[in-house]
Amino acid sequence: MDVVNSAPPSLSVRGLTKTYHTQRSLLSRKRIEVHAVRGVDLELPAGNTLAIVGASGSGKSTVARCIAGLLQPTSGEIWLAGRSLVSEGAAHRHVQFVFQDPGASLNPRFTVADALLEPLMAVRSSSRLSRFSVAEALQQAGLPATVATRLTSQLSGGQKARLAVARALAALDASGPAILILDESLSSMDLSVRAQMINLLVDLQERRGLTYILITHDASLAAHMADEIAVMAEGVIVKRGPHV
Amino acid sequence: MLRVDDLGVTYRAGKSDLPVARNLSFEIYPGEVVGLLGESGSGKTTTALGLLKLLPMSAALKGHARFRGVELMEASEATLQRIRGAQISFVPQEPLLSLNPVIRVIDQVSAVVRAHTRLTGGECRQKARAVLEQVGLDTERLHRSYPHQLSGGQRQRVLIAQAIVCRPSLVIADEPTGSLDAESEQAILVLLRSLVDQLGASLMLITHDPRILAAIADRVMVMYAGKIVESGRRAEVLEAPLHPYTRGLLQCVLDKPEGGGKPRDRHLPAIEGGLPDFGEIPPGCPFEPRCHDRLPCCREAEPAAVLSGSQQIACFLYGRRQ
Amino acid sequence: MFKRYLLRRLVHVIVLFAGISAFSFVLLELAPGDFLGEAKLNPQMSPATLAALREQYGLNKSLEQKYLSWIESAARGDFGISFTYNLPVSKLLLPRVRKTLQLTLSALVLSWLIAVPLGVWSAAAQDGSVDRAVGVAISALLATPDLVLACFALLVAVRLRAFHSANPVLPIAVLALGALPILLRHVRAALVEVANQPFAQAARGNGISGTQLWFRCLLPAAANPLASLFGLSVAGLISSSLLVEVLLGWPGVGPLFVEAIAARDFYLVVDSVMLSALFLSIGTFLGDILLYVLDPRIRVE
Repeated sequence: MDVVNSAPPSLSVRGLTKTYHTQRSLLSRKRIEVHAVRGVDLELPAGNTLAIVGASGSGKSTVARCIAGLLQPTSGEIWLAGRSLVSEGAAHRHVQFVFQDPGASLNPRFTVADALLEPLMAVRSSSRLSRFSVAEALQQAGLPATVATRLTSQLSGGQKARLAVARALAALDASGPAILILDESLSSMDLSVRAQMINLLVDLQERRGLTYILITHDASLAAHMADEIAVMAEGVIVKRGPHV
Repeated sequence: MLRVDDLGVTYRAGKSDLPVARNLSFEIYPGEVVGLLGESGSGKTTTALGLLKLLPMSAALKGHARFRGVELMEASEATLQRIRGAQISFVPQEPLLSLNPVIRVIDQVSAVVRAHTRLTGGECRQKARAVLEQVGLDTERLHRSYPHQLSGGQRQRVLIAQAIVCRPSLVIADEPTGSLDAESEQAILVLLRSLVDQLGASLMLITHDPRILAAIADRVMVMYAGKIVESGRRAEVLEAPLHPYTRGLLQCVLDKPEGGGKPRDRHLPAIEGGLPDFGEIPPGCPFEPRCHDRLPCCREAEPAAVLSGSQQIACFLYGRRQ
Repeated sequence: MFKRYLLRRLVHVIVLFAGISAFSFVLLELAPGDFLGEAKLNPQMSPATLAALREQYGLNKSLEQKYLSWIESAARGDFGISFTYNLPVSKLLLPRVRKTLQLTLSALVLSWLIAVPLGVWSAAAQDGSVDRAVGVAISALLATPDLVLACFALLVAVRLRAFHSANPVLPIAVLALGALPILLRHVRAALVEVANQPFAQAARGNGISGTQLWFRCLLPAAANPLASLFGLSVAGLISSSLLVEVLLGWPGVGPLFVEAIAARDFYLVVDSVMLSALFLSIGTFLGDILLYVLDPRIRVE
């Protein structure tokens, strides 16, 4: 634990804000401003787990999506190992996002192998493709090699969740920091499946030094998994620490 | 009040039969809250829908279910329509999907009244208004809203209002707190318990989360792969579980943190493997492949339910095989 | 919010109408020949007279000029002259419009009035023997072109000595029967889809059944695609009415229109097309209003 803490911080977020402007209607000039995130600072050392807890509408998902590069922040800085994620736009190589109900993000007509290769095809990196091994990726996620040829729709709920994690890992660049953001991914799972997923995530973190950002409304899950917990409400962090 | 005997639900899919629920036998007495604990695929929702005969045509039902003198499995559709909503009501999952998107919530609640009484439109609305206030939706503006304008917790309350407006004797609630955050969850559970006490009704609460049952249930039944593997009083089942599956499941529940700060092993004693496919259930106990305490006889035959103290348990570790 | 929605749909409709008018002008211009085409063959007409007539009728203006001058005079209420009848077009069309509307509006109401209950019934009795029988009949009707339907009706009526060209019952019946299959199919399909949704099962779980279930719970939820269909059904009826009027001798816009096309009676043709376009636009507009009223989800901005 001490070793990890004194390592240089991996992810650094300063003054993150995100404001939405919505128009009332096509013919009206009045614009409504929604301040989803109002100035958020975070420090996350490599290999640690941060949990962002809050009620719906507190802005926690928005923060996560900004870090993952899914949303462009209105202002603020996001630094990962010395490089700015916002200006370089290379967030997806180091930060991957797992959605709530991870199984739903899988194309039901793909085979398992296709699903794993999909992100690599998207970045068109032939070098990464040649180095990638489907069997290895499956093994790391705790899936038997025989599922590679099955359709994703034929998997059980727990298997789909594992596949979603494996896919996120496949999309990450092996060299450099690796951050996985889990947005309410464990929230509506059956308990036994969730326990298996927690074990898998903990193992992967130990083995590969992954950094996790866990977005959840479940305080006990946050307490169990996180090294640090940040509580958000109305766009700002109101409390933070190893225990809340 | 409700006595279920050897209830079974089998889906016919092409040439194969999928037994989704088998040999279910239980009783529900007036005024009690019974929890049906099970994970996805355990057959819990199917059981509830089967009782009310709301399953599609491809589902075959067998066994008996006697409710206040009426044999549900043999009742006519007309009788069942009278019972549904008025004597046994069902609160479905997914509030957003279970409400009609184009009708105001107060009209959706009055529709239930209209279906079971001969009151005029105005009288139905009055009853609807009263029960919506009872569940905590007390402004006219809320009553006149459409489902997509309400929050998750509010929609859940509308579903509950629909279920109790005709004062049923049994309310079956399927994952009533599924998509809600911690505060709403608490509020809904408190509401359910108080309503049920006020009405003198019984509540069958279906969920995969034992913490919910710890809060309000009197008795708990645990389902696995279509069978009830354990049942008994809440304190016994949740604090001193006997069946290996129940024990494994309860170990997956995360407790509130005790504080400390020492690095702790975050691994959980999870149950390995997954639920069996319904088409491929082996003979013998369905939990056997994943069970740590299995005996050789577990593979050969299914254990029947035996009494151990006041708990019923279907496991060869307890009682003798016949 | 309603006003804004209305305004938006109105703009839509105006653009639609402008588009149709421009497009029909272009098509008419592209069609070979003009009113005086026949006259050219007449050896007794000198080229000079022809040229003078052309000038008078305004037939030698360019396309844009014709379009603009038409718009200009239409704004004043002057819709041009019919060359054949030598009368203002409005005087000719107005009485005919009343006759056509009598047919199309009645057929519109009748076809929907039959399609909705029948659609509900066949959706509720899904795959029963009645449903299948109705399905077969509807398919047969769908496959029958309006022309054949009208001729068949004519034949039957004449044989029964019941035919009178001033009696609207036959043309209305033919129009309604022609429109019915598509409406019925859509109503049934929309209802079947709604009936499989979770909220329908939830309603059944609450003991709601029978007419209350279908008419007060499921039909409103199926209204969205049906309101859009309403505008289209108006369009369909307008085009079928043309044919039916001609075949059954009903003195509506149809026969006049056909005649005017044959004679290249420019303004009469143009104005008839505009009229149809106007009805179409009004029908679509009404459909939009209906949609707003029936589906609250549309009202969310």
